Amino acid sequence: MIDPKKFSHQTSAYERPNNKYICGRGSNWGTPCLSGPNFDGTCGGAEEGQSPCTPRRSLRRLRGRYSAIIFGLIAALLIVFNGLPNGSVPALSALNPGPLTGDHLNFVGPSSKSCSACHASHESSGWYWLSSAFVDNDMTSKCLDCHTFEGPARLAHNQTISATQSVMKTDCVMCHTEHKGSDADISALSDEQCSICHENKFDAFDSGHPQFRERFPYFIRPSIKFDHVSHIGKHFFSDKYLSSISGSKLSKHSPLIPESCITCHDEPNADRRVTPLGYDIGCKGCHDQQIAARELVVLNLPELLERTAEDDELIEACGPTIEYIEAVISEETLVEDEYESISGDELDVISSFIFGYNSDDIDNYDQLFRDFLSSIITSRSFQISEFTNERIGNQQSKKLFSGLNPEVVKRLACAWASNIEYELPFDEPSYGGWYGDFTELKYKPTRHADPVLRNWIEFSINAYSNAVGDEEKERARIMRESLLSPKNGPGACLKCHSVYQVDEVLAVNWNYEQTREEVGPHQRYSHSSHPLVEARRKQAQDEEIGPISVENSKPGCATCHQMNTESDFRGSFDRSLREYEASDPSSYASNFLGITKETCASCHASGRVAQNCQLCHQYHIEPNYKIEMVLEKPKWPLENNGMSPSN
Amino acid sequence: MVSRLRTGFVWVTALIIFGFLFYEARRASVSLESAEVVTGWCLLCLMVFLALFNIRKKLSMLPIGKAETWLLFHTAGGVLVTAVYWLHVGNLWPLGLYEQLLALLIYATVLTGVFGYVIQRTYPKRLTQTGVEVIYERIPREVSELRDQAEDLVLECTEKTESETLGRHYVDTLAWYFQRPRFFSHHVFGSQHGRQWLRQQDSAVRRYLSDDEKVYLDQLIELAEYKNGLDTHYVYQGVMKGWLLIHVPLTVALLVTSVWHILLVHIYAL
Repeated sequence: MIDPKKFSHQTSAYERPNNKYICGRGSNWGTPCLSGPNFDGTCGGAEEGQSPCTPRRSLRRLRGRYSAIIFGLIAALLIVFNGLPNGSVPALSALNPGPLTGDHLNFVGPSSKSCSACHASHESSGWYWLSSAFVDNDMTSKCLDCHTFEGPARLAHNQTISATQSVMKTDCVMCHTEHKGSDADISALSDEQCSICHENKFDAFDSGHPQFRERFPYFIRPSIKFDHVSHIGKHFFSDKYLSSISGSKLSKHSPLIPESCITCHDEPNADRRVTPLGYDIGCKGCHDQQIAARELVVLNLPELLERTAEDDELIEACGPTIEYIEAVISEETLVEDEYESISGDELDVISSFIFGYNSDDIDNYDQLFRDFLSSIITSRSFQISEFTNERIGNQQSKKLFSGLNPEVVKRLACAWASNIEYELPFDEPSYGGWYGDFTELKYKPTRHADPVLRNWIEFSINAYSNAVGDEEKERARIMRESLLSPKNGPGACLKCHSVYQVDEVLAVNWNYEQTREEVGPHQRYSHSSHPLVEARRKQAQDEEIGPISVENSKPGCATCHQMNTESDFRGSFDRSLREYEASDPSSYASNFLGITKETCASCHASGRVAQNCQLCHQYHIEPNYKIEMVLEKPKWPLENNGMSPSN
Repeated sequence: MVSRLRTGFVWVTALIIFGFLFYEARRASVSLESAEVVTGWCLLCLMVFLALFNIRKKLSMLPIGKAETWLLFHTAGGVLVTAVYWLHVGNLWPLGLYEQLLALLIYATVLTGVFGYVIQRTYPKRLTQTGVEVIYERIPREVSELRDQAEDLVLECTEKTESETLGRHYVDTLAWYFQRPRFFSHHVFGSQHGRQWLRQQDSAVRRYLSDDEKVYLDQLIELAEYKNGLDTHYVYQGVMKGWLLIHVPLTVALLVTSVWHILLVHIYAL
């Protein structure tokens, strides 16, 4: 139908698709103008009888125009939404790439101003803000404004690893990236990512993980020397043992014998450790009476060469004696017998150390001890520290002689100065405390964790290292061995409480968790997340299976913690007791066999329970927060989030 | 054969590029490096390359390859951009508002691109089936001339047959039809509704016409059917040109937002 000849430069308009304009008449479906539009958008010339048209924009022109409009619109939106919210509607901010995790949001707040908590460049504006695009962002330093670790924060695993290993520099954002949503896990790492640095590479725990270290995780002596083997194997269930103590309250069915491990261990609150429930629940039933019997003899009247004081001095200081009253009544004159000391003992070990003379050095200690007694009976404000300051110190004396009644001391001193034994006017004090008995000044512990006994034990432990000179050291050693002997007196405390050394100072583990486990700072384990404990409890309720007891703890705790009946558990502690100065807490034989990798891999294996690296290992050492985060107002704003410090 | 080889080569190249980027991103991720830096810059380069296609069309005088070849690269590049975007972001839909705007623009640009590609592949065949060949810009003049021819024919019929039946029918129905392209939406989807409408008008009036008038009616219907072909051309060619009114501005918006994104990343994160 179309006649090609009708289109020519003489007969038809020349359509120019690239022109910015098209004929306005043709656009309205009239007869297009013959010459088409001009480049400037005016009519190129209408046909005869027609008025000039108003050309319209071509498609190409429209494309360019729309592109310019949307360019401007988007640019304006980004600029406006960058500047406008500034705290009011941060979710609309053109800077916000996504919500923070809940933890971070709670601290920095939802305000867009709080971006500066992590992004230093956010604090600048204008040209400085733009130019910061060409400066490296040290995000890690911002992280460290709040986070702390037990080691160099910027080193791999927060520790200085051997220089032979090519471990790259680390930044927080290598592993932790934010703005992934409030519920995002920004700490998750894949096993492949873990193994990128480790030389020993393997695919899975069950197939390639190295065997656990020998004795894992029982590397360090526990703070409390509870011998599981002897207790469970002997004290709880041995017929021979139980019959040997017939008449005692113990029997196989005694309520004093724990039903299972969690009778003494705090299972409901178990996490990494299943801590013991403490003395009152686990030990008191059998051991409380033993504690009361462990008296400490602090002072013993030694043999003296001469009288301490003349009779008139004694009568003036201590009052008349019965002999003196009888002599007055009978009007006789008291005849002084030749002096013979009532005590034939040597100076006791504590006095020997305190006074600074050997126990058998009667020529020297005689005068000092008599002066000591004289001082007690004549002084109205007797301070025992006057004689002990040189080796004990005033503060220490107050602790060691806490509760010591001066009247008791004076009566005792009067008796001793009179060269007679002091007789208690009543039976031994059943509630504990200081008292004199014949030639001894004693302390009877009031209860478990008696503070006076604790002070004496701690004093005697460190007396050796504090002593000066060979003789004094020797006296300190003798006193320590005597005082800490498990056979006598307060030394029995160390039958349960172990000794450890920190910075050349010896101390006693009075509480369960005072020593730190050496199972590796990057390992983690949670008893509560392991179903065995719960399974054991449920099975204990199942009558068909029967209760899981201490005697039969499988498949409960003993699945992993199997007792080693051959180990020299107590020997480890006894050895350390004898050699305090060389006390190595890792030189220790546990009651339990080391847990092997196979124990864990019986569940954590391919096709069974998860076995990824982060399940048992944590990257950081002791991750924590700076105290200023809690105590001081952060420098970034905390508006509209209900987390202001005043809240 | 050569064209197929070239097409295959381009697509395989795109696949290799993506494979390399995927490997590099994974390696960087495992090595605790920032994989997003590599994929992000590649993404920007790809988008700029795709946008150059529009410039290439305007610079047809330069010997920088055939437009057909550019289209092939543009198509493969568009698919590659989508894949690399997912690799870069790690999910289908980001969380931040402006990141969502960026995603929306990418998806919209890609979808309009896919639409353009589909119509470029299907509409030309349908245009061939019309039997009409016309330049898009000349369609208004063609329609105008057809309208003039139809009116002249109706006037001639009225004068020679002294019957105004055909004239009244033309004024009532066909004058509307010849006024401008009709049945736009039907033509978009390839419907033959226009032709059917013409048959209805033909059969509606034919029984009332004399034999002389029927000769004029046949000529009028012939003009109308040609007009139907022109309408098809107008619609198809219009869509093939008009989709760029969306695709190109979206591309511009995408590039602006991407530049903003890069700026923010370097100011705040790198």
